[in-house]
Amino acid sequence: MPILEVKNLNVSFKTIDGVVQAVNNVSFNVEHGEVLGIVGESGSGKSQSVLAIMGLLASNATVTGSIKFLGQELVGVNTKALNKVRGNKLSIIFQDPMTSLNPYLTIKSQMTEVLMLHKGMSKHDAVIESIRMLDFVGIPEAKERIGLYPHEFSGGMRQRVMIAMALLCRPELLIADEPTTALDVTVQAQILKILRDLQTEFKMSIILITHDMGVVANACDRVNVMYAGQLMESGSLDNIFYEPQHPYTQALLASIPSLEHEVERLATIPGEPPNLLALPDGCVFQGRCHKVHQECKGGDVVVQDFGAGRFMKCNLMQNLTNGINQGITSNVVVN
Amino acid sequence: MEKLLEIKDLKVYFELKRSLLGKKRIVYAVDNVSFDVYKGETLGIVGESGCGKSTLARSLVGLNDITDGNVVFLGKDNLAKADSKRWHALRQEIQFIFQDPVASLNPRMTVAEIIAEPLNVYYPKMKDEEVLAKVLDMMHLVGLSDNQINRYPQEFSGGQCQRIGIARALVLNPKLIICDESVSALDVSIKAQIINLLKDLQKKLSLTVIFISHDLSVVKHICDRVLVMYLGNIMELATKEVIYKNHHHPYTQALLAAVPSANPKVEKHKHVKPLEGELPSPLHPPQGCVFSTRCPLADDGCKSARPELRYMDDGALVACFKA
Repeated sequence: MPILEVKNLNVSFKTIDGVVQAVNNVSFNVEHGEVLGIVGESGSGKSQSVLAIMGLLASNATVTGSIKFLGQELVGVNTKALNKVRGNKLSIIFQDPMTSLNPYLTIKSQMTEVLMLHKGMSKHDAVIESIRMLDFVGIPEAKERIGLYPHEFSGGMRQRVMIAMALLCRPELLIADEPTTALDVTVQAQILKILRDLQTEFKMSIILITHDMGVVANACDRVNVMYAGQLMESGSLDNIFYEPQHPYTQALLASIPSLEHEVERLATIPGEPPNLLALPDGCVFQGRCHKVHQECKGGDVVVQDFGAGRFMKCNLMQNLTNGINQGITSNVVVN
Repeated sequence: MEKLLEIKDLKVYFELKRSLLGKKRIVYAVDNVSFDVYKGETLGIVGESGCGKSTLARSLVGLNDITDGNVVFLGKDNLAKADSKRWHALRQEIQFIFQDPVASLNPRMTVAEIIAEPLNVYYPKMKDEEVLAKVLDMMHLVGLSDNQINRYPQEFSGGQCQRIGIARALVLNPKLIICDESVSALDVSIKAQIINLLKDLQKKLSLTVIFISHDLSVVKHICDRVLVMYLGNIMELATKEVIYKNHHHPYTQALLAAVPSANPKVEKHKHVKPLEGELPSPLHPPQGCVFSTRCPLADDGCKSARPELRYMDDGALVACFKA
């Protein structure tokens, strides 16, 4: 059984300008022990879909659909029931560690609170366990430094503290929302290594949200590609990177400058993402797609299931036999 | 090649408030940096946050005071000694494109007003029709359409705002453009558009560009030469080919190895240990080589003396005893 089952998830926000459809009919699973990457540009709904899982959406949000975590439905349950799961079996780390830690409390009191609340540990045991966890994420002199305040740590160290805190109760699922975006590359490499080590050590599942395809290639087993609130394509790491089917995935990969090979001009995706207040009829990518045709401009978009968890939302018909790509080349418009 | 900028022993220090014990505290943001910028080239400056790359850039347009050293522009003007009147004239030649495209535009001005402002400042007698013609020229150049001329910045996306910022920087026909993380805030698909635009404009207008970025792949794509900084010091300065293929400095090596590749096969077979630790505080830079606290090759010699920049056989400038 998958550890997390998301079915037909919709998240919308009522604003003075109208209803913003942030997540649009998204379904996916997270299996035991896997790292699922969710990639997309800003406004693609990647963060809002995990905030919905955590029950952390803004108060003007409406959620429909189903989110089942370890068999338990999370949509529509009260805060008390959610709190039993959150921080315990289900944890999240955010992009900016400074704003997620309480600046008035020491790391010690913020960490021990979690253990005392969820595990009923004594203060003494909780401190020992917290130090152990800080050690694990590579904080030197954890025993002394646990008494410090968040501002006394550097950005990379604060992110380690966040990870340690999220892991205290040995969650089954860790959600990492752009955990390395605010960090330098050398520190990012350290944090990605910690995440990989953790995953092997604790056998937990991770949802890793990022806009950086390099981070995905480094850390993930499976990838969901989101655009304008919709799940455009999903597949294994190799599927997505070596045989992308969706025109958006293809264009996204082609537009990244690479360290390995050189191109004179980067391929670009013309135009900009659609306004979430007024999504077009039909496919949300139609305005920027170089393979767009009449049927993309209205009606439902076909979801093509290629088996083995690989699917895409696109009217363009693909015949995939044994995962071998037939009939498409990744010829992306260069403008 | 003709030199546009000659930077010699540039020092930019910031004095902090005295500590409790009354000791002077100085941040050595840029410490004794010398290099040249040639006409028509794109020079990339890379390094981690706090390495001094932005401070360096800002001191080249007079946004920071220069503590000591010389910055000679076109063989005659010393920017380090320029007064505000001289700076006023110099800013026609040197323009800056900022990181945050939205925050760097005045929300109460229309696109036309934003792009025309430099013209109004420097050519107050220019006729309205001429100003308008120039503004439209600039808008076409950066890929904005005529009907957007009376809109306000908030009606545009980040990528479009950056186009407006570029138009504003180019309207005076500057010789030198400094881009400080100008594409970092943009989404992948938009970033590619702006990178292509900058590259085209550089060629078309034969601009000299100093391109500051923490993103090594973008720098590789856009630059001719690359300067690697660490804690206010130059570690390596070489052509793009040398930096990305045959670099000499262990820091350049570590920096490149840390960039995750968008290719799972490459990532899987990468077995480099990430660089340990973090940038030391610029308040107390290490005694010897500034990189010695994290360098895998450092020995006692590196910890006691600071290596000078020296030329390698391939023309690269490197500050390392081990290179």
